[in-house]
Order: sequence, then structure tokens, then C-alpha cells
Amino acid sequence: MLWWCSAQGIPWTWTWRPYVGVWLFVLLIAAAYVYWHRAAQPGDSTRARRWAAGGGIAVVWLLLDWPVGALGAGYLESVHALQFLGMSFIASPLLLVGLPAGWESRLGPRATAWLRALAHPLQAIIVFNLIVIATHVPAIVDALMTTQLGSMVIDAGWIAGGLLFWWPVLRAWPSRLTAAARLAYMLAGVTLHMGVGMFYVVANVPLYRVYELAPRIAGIDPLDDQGRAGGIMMAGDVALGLGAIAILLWLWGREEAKRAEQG
Amino acid sequence: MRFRALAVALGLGLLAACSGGGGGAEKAKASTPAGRYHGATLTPPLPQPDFTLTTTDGKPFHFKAETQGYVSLLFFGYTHCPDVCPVHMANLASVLDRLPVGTAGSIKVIFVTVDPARDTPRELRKWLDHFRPSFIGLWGSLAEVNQVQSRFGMPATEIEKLPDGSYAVGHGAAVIASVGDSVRVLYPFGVRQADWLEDLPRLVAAIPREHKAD
Repeated sequence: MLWWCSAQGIPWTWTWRPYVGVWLFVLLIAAAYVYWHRAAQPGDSTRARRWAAGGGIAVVWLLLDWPVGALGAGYLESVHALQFLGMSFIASPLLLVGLPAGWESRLGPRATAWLRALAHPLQAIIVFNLIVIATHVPAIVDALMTTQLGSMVIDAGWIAGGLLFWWPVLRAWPSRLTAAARLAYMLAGVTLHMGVGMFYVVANVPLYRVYELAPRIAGIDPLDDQGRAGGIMMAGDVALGLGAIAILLWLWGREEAKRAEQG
Repeated sequence: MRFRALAVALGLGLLAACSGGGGGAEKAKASTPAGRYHGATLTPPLPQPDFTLTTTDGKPFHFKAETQGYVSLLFFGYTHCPDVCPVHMANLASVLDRLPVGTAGSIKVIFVTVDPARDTPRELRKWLDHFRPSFIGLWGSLAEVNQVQSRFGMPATEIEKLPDGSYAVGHGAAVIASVGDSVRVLYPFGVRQADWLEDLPRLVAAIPREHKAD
């Protein structure tokens, strides 16, 4: 019985395998959301928020469990890149939107203090980018991905980093960013892994031992796969960046229009 | 331009981190002194054993004569191998594609099947062509192949029956690199493309001038 998807060095098969730790992790998140929504004030737990939470939990499960989790952990870097994008930029914002309104106000004083410190945009972007760097450095990835605990640390780091990154954009607490500030923040957030993606594309050797020496799937060359991973990261960043810019520009325009009306 | 500069800066950082730790091959790289290779370097080099097996075209292949003036990378494996053999072959093929034509042309990759019962010459050729058509496939009876392996100090082939009625083949995982008529380096499984890219030109440069192939 396996706890978490990691690089096992064994040939890939399409035989289903259970990953108990992934199930427990997903169940824990689901249980927390059920509790929070039940404990919320009637108006704070809307259907849209519950759907967002369900969507976020489903994406986490899909990305961590077999087969995606196993392929990404030990065989294909391109799948690993999809996991990163999915967890940081799809699951995390959905999970944040899925929190009941005013969720922060029910935290204890210590948790509030921690969240207040980490959710500041400057701290959030620094910690998020540090997590991105740390989880893409070859020596760290090669060391962590070969153990179930290490692989879990990377996955949990991406989700935690994603939650932190999206917090100042999606939760208007402790401070509310203007649309222009959100735009700048988003650009700062996607620029670094755009660079990581570009480096994957231009590198002339496979960077990660774990993928280079993994048993091949359908003869896929690790260098080609690395290029594909870079392409996925860049395409994801462009889509996300353009999407976010479009939304934020629209919000910005709306704010300006409101201000003009009031002035 | 900004992204390109960032990519270069990040790349340098990643490479710095890469050379600072990680797996065995990387550690070997970090500690490889000048003049040594990323595999187990034989000092002094051993005289290259000679043998004759059959190519996938059915012609005799006299190892010593055919590899004179070349770097030879000899590997004992089998086409049903699920892990080590295809990874070694794919990495070598990928590296040879990126070396200058003159350097790649001075290297002969020779794959000797340790599973002659299943690896017919035709199957062997088809499998090797998937990686690189220039790879040489050699075939012989299991007794002959075991004899050749023992001359190179490699373990004899072991057959392990599997529950589904098929079998797995136990074999050495090292690539044996010879230059001219001497065995120089044993590359274990775990050697990476970056290591090959660094070592192969050096091995080619070590071919004695009088032996160099035209």
C-alpha cells in the first residue's frame, strides 16, 4: 500500500494503484470545508462558494491521485508541470473562493496574526516565488521526488504557495488591493515561472535526474518532455496572465468609472 | 527580451544548484578531477578483449578489428528490458544527435543481446533503429554471450521466471567504454546526458592518432 505518488523507478503500467495518503489529504480538506460551511452565517455560505470549494477539491484529487499523480511524480516532467499549474493556479484560487465569506473573522488570534503577516502582498509574493524556486531546483526535486514524504512536501508546497499567492487577489482581508495593484501583483507572480518554463525549453540537457533516468513511457525522450513541460508552463502563464489582465483591466475601468461618477 | 534575460539568470541559478548536490552522477561530476571521467575510470586501462558475434545483418562482427580507431560503447542488454536498457540507449542516442558529426562518427554503440531466444536479429534491429539506426546489434548463443561478458568482467546472464509465464533477464547495467584497443571507463546506470556530453568528446580525443578512423 502506498501513501503518496513518488518516483519508484519501476516501469509504468496502467494498472490502478491506491494512494492512501492522497485520499486522506483530500478527505481532510473536504471535511474542513464541510465544517466551515456548516458553521458559517447563512448569507456567508453561498451555492457559488460551495461549488468553487467542490471544484478545488476535485482538481486537487485529480492531480494528486493515480494516474496523473503517479505519472507526474516519476515519469513525465510535462505532467509534473501540469500538476504545478493545476494546483497553484486552478485548485488554489477555487479553494480560496470556496471559503465562506468572513471565514477569516472566525480564526483564533494566533492564526489571525500569522495570516495577517503572510497574506500581505509583499510577503505572499516573496514566499510564493521562493516556493516556486525551491520546488524547481534540480537537486531539490531529485532528492524529494524519490520519497513519498518528499513528493508530498512538493505537492503541499504548491497548494500552500498557490493559496498564499491568490489570497491578496481574492480575499479582501487584511487589506484590499486596487485593481492596478492586483494587475502588477499578478504579473510579478507569473513572471518567475514563465522564466522557469523558458529555461526548460532552451536547456539542451534534461535537468532532472528523476525524469531523465525514469523508465520510458512510449519512448518519450526526457529532453523533448522537458521542452513540453516548459511549453505547458509558458502557455499556462500566458493564458493565466492574459486572462487575469483582462479581468483586472475591466475591474480597473469599473473602479475609475465609479470614482468619476462620485467625483 | 526581459523573459530571455530572466531565463538565462534563472538557468544559471538552477545550474549552480544542480552542481551542488543531488544524485550520484551529479556528485561524481562535482568531484571529477580533470582528466577523469564520470564513470569508473580504469587506471591503468585494461587491454580490450576480443570476440566475434553476429550482426543483425547476419555478418560476423570482429570486435577488436571493427572498433579500432573508434570509441566503442559496449552494452549487454535485451529488448524486453523495461528500464535500464532503453534508458541507456535513448540517452546515448539523444547525446550523439547533439555532438558534432565528426565526434559522433567516431563512436560506435554496440548492443549485445543477452536474450537471444526472444531477440531475433530482426527484432533486435527494429528495436535499435527506434533509437538510432547506426547502433550495432550483436547476436550469439547465450553461452557465447556469457563467455564474452565474462571476458569483460561482467556477470553472466540470469533468467528469472515470472508468474505470467514470461521471464526477466538479469544482466550487468554498465556501458563499457573502450578507446582504441583498451577498456577505459565503466559507466553505471545513472550516468546522465550531461555527463555523456562531457565525456564522449574527451574519449574521442583520446583515440591514438595512428589508430584514428578516417
